[in-house]
Amino acid sequence: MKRNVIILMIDGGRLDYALKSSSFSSLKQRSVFFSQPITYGPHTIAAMHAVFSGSYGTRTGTNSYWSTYLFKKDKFKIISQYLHDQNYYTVADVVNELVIPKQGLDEFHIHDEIKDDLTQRHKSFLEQMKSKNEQNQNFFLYLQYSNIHTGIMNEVLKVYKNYSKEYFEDREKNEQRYASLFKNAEKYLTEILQKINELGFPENSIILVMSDHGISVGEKVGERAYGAYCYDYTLRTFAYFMMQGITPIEISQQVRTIDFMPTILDYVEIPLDKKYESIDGESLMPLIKGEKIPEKIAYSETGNPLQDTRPPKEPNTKSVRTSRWKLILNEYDDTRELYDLLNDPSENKNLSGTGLGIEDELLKKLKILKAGGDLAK
Amino acid sequence: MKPNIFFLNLDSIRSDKFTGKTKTAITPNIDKLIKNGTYFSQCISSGDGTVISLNAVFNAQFPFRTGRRAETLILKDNNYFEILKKAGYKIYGFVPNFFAFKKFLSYCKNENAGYRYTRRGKILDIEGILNGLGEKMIELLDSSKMKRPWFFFIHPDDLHFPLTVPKEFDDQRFGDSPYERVLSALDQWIGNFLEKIDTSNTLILISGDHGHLIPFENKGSRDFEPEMKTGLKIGKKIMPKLTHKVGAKVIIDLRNKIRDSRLKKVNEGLTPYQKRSRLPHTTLLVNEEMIHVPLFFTGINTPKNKIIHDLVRSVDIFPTIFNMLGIDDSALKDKDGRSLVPMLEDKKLTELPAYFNTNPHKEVTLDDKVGIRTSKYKYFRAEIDKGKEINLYDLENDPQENNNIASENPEIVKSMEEILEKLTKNATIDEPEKLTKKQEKIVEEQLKEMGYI
Repeated sequence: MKRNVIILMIDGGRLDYALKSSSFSSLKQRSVFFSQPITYGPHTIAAMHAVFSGSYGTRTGTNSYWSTYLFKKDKFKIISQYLHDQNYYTVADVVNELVIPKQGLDEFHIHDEIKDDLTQRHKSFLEQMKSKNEQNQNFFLYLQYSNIHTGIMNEVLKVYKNYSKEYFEDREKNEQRYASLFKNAEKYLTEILQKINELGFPENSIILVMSDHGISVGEKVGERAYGAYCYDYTLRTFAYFMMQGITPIEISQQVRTIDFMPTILDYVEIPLDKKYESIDGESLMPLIKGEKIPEKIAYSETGNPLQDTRPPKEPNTKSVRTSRWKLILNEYDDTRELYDLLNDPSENKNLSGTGLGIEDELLKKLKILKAGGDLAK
Repeated sequence: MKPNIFFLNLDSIRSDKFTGKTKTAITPNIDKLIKNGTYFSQCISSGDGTVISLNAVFNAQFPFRTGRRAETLILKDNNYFEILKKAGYKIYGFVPNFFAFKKFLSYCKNENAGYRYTRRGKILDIEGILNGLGEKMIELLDSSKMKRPWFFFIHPDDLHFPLTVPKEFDDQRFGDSPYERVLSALDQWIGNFLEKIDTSNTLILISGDHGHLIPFENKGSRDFEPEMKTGLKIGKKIMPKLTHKVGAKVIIDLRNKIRDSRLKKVNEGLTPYQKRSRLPHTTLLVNEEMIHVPLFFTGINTPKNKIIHDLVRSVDIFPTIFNMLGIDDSALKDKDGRSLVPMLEDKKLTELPAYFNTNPHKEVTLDDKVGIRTSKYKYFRAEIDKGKEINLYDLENDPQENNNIASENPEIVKSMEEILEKLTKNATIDEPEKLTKKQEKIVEEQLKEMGYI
């Protein structure tokens, strides 16, 4: 039998909170921890379509909150399809109809983020998967923990506007709110991982604990949650891979969340299907095994609603990032931002227009990537 | 040394105004070029809009393969530009800095390949050859910035409505209409470009995406609209804000009624061609003035002083370029275009029909047309209903398409429809997806539920 695949997606999980958390630290001891994965889209829909397809939304068609139905399913084969084709039983439990592509899923469940007890619900899914293994069938289980979103929705999105002064002036309150929501995520994770251990899945599965994007606690005026800007507090996420036969390690090199799908396929030894479009991501297995691969530029984009009450249909804010530099192109007002992430991780000092050669270099790359091009060509 | 390629694709250029008896623009440089090269006098574009037409050129495919309703340039993973790159070519260009062009822009090596194309209020601010782009082109041609061999594609908008005629050319001497005066001004620049190009090692092409309406007696539909500014102003002042939208609609409807009635009067006795010329520029049209474009080659491997009157299509342009340069494009499948090199060598090719579509507007209506053209006939009809809006013209005897002979010639209509159906049968249509209204509603409800709206 091949390995099962379990993805626990902590929606809106911030890296800095994970680093401070004892539950996540304990997970780190048992896994390959990526401390610098960059999401393609700082909101779930675009982020997870990119993860499932291993490709940027510039090519797959899902590049905004609005474009789930525009996903080019005939051209991009997603992880659930690959596994389903190998006779995996494939199940997903998510918060909403739109957040992931559904191809190749045997079961697609939507939970009620307000009423459902996600811990109990997801434990039950894990138990059901055990029975699949007992019938000699592998499984793929994707579980979205959506309660950080629930809290943000109720306490931020429904209360404040994009530029509400009272939100941005009370950073402490925002941090406390987020800390409390993250605490609940930790409890969820602890219980779910315990269940996973009880069922013996660490021995026969690859388990990925990841976040799709971070969430603002008021760092930049104009973004009260996520999806408006391309700053690191939403783009930089975390990923913990638990897999047999691999020494726990922290990999601090920048990777992209689009690399997760080819990494998992590589681990479970499923080749990419040449009948479909090539993917943008690459397997991180060499890094996991301690080998070196060159760091790749990470491309991200989102739609800044500005004063509008709804997100735009097309992205208007785009960025390219290395572990040292980030260039942001704000197409809505034709401005650029360049940050030295090493010396200015909070992205406060805009170096655009100061004559740094890296700006032009990154701009060229951004132009290629935003048009769906390939930097290797 | 591989030859360079200079491809000037003028937006809105009409074949009948580029050369020939009906041209009134003063174009000594174009005239000289034509003497030094090969001119195809019967080249048909695949549509009356830029994107639909350029997709056909760039892919050598008709719109039923690249997407009849595509709103952006479609370039598949393997395409002509990829082949050019593999053959060692460096791609440069100037096209509008507009989302529809982003695929092509990703190939351009030069800075600011996307020229200014913005809307300020109701006014389009476009950088054309006549207001800045010309200098930029010269600068690029002059410098050593372009690495050889290069492919330089320029798609300027100077001839596109609304036209701005440079003062020194705004005179009857430079043409009967503002359109032709702009063309006279462009001709000077074409001369400037040629001075910078080594013609012994460059293939030069001039063509266009689609034509343009040139209003009869230089009076288009807008010129017959009454001024309603005072009415609008007073209405705005005295009526409550809530009624402004409805009020504006009433005034616009009234304005259009007055315009149409005035047009009806002044159009009396005019031919259908003359009447058409006064339609708004956004009208969907596949008549000759909108899809018959020039196609001209000069420079390396091109016969001089040759005019080819056979029917060719803009989908033939890239296969011809690649054949002339000896670059293999056989990896690209399902091409509708073919190389015209045999014609350059005085060989006769069997005529192939030209397919065309109207530019896609938001809603699909009976104005969306599809059709085919042979050297003798043009046939088109409503895209969504083959029984509606049927047009057939005998181009040999009626080049301005004044007499729709469809009803008297059902057999010809039938045979043209058969050609159209045969052509599009088994077409691998790759339409860019758009949300249906139903899907958009679902997404909106879900986004509301998640707190994003």
